[in-house]
Amino acid sequence: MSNSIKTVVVVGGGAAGWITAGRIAAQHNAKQGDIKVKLIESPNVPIIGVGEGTWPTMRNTLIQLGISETDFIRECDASFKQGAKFAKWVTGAEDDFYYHPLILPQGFTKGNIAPYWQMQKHQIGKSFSDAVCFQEALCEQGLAPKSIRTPEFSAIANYAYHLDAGKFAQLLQRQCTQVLGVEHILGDVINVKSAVNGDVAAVITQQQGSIEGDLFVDCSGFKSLLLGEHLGVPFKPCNDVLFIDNAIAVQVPYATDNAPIASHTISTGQNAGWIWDIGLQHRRGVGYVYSSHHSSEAAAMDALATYVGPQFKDLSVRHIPIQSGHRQQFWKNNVVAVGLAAGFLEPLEASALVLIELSAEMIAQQLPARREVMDIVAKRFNSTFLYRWDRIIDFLKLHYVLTQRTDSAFWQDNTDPASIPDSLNELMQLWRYHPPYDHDFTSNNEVFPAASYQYVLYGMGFESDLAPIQHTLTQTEFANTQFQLNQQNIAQVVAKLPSNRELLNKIREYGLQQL
Amino acid sequence: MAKLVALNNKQHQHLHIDTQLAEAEGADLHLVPVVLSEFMKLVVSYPIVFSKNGDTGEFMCSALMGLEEGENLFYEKGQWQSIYIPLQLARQPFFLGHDNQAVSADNSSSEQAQNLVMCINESHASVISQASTNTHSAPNHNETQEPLFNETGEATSYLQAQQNRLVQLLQGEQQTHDFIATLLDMQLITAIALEITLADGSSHKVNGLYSIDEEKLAQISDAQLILLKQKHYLSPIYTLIASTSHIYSLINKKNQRIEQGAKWFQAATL
Ligand SMILES: Cc1cc2nc3c(=O)[nH]c(=O)nc-3n(C[C@H](O)[C@H](O)[C@H](O)COP(=O)(O)OP(=O)(O)OC[C@H]3O[C@@H](n4cnc5c(N)ncnc54)[C@H](O)[C@@H]3O)c2cc1C
Repeated sequence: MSNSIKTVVVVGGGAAGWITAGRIAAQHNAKQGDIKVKLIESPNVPIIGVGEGTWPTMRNTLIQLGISETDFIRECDASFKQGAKFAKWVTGAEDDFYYHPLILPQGFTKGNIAPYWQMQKHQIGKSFSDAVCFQEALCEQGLAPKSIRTPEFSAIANYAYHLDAGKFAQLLQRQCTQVLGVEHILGDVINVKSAVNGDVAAVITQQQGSIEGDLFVDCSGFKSLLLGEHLGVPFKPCNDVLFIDNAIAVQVPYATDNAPIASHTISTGQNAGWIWDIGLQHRRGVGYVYSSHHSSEAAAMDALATYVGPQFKDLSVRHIPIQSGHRQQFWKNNVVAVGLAAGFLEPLEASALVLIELSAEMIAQQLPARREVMDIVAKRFNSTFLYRWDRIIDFLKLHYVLTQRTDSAFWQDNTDPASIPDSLNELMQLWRYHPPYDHDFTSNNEVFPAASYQYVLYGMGFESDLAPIQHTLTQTEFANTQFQLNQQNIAQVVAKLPSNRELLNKIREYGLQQL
Repeated sequence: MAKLVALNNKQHQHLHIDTQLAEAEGADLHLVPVVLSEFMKLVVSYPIVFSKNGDTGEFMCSALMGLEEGENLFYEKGQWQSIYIPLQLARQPFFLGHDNQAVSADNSSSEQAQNLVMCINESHASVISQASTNTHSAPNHNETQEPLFNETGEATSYLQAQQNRLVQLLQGEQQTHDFIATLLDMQLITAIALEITLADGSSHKVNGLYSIDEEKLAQISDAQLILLKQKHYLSPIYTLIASTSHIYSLINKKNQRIEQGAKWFQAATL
């Protein structure tokens, strides 16, 4: 161990490990040997292999890692994701749904049209997201967010991806080892050698002996080998807020080769949780995340079987227990945890990979040059990410608190004030009279933009009491123009964009251009 | 619907092609695909640009004919106002197709090329099944009608010229494909942002056009330069760059059309 930070050792070869190793290696020129990045992966412990929904940040992550979008789409069975459709979250009725798209409401940077929508919603006759954003129409019609002429990573409608987690890890591994200069070590970490100051001096592997490093990134999954087990940083559960504690997952083949591929995640409320439905090119990933306090495993299996249909009996079901919560701090001594080793809440809104990307970015950009300054970076990292985890918890809980479902204890318990964090409660109070907007979110470290809160709030049927602020609502004309512009945008994009399946097939055949 | 059949001097002996109608195919195209070997002729009139194939997204070379979709500023009053018409239009209504009977199970590309035969789109508007007699059509129409075969069934010089065009296109497509791949590889292609203000004050953005990045071209390595020279790409590169200034003549043409339109409008309202 030296005083300069020259060797970074990443433990774990899931998405967290490879993304973090890759970002550090790219930023610090590991290829030229300026610093060394080593990734140790157990040949015996498989990666979790779920986690198929992403945020648009993934486009930038791929760019930073030097991965072409064409390769990514071809090799990871990937497809385009234009947000999420939440079905049966409000009333549970068959026709109950709303969208959380990935495009800001029309004119959002110039003015807030949300209160005008609320005042005129009966005349407008459209849901909030459909009235202010053209993306819902694209999703409902199964259209892609771009055309074959749109260059790599460029968009006509903002998008993220759905991907095959196993294939994604393989592609990341190849790029990291063959292009970015990451050294890949297959070995089981069985012990840790400590320095006097409590730092990790080396990890001892069963197969490759001792591996020394200056900074250790713990990406060992739920085990949290270095941060949790070795350094003893406590886990902060949040199952008093978010009740999901189990997942059952299946991979569902398409009926035909040319079946449509949804270009959004479909999340359907159930008795004791919700079912995710993610369309890849060659199969769907479907899973039920539920609360074991509100449902037996057998009942959950029945619900998933009903959702999937007759073919369910031929599919193999994976069971994954979830403990929702996170470590009390993420960087201690010379160990920083990223991914499941740092924590996990529930798959809602695909917030796990985005946190991995944000963590990897901050570590790569602020990698301490010497050990003396590491504690300062650690402190900043901890406060940034504690803030982010809290905001994500608030945002996920927001999806549940406004439900009108009374058909099961799961939904009723979710509206219990005791289960709502104070920070979320405060925002909800504020929004009773002030339609949510940018100025409610003042930190540089927000994960979800104000627009996302609007989509979820209004999607869930929220209304502010506008009477006290009526005198400030003088932009009716501006708002009406935006509603009209959105109508025009819908007509335009619907006319020119291909179906999601058609575009993906074309990318497989011709690839996307770089410009 | 296009009706595509292999050309044959018995079946098609009496066919005539109205060349003016054949070329009318390009009347509302603002981009016409072109090949490298015609750059020298194109540069006299048209801006040569890169654009993307709508079906595949792949780059191709095109002559720019207008400033918006559906607009061909070189086509007026039912004919081309230009001395050179790109091969892709001039070859109409003929094309090269596979002779189905002759194609064996082996489709290696050389085999395929050998099996290409000249075909005709029988339902193309320019195809006239019998030479129109003087009594039935205007005399000037007759001048643009070309027979395919003479009485003994030999190809006329018109048909031979069409054949040559098809061959030039076939070879040109491969060469152009490699030209583009080479430039992409050297990152020499760049998007051009055209923002045009017209005589009537309206402004237009023309999207989807690409050209050669002259700054980057000035900085290519010696090895790259030698490669471009060996492949004979230096001439088309500079021809393409020089042709870009024709965009100004397109703007002029467009302004003229607008003025004519305005006059017409005035006349109509008087
Ligand atoms: C049901 C479910 C659904 C999810 N859906 C989403 C989603 O839609 N979107 C999203 O963003 N995220 C989702 N996630 C989270 C996502 O799956 C993870 O955040 C992501 O896969 C990263 O995992 P990881 O790399 O941290 O851990 P893992 O993939 O578990 O990798 C752990 C690595 O550590 C290695 N390892 C373990 N022990 C040792 C040892 N002793 N020595 C050496 N190596 C060791 C293993 O070999 C493995 O390589 C979901 C998670 C679950 C459970």
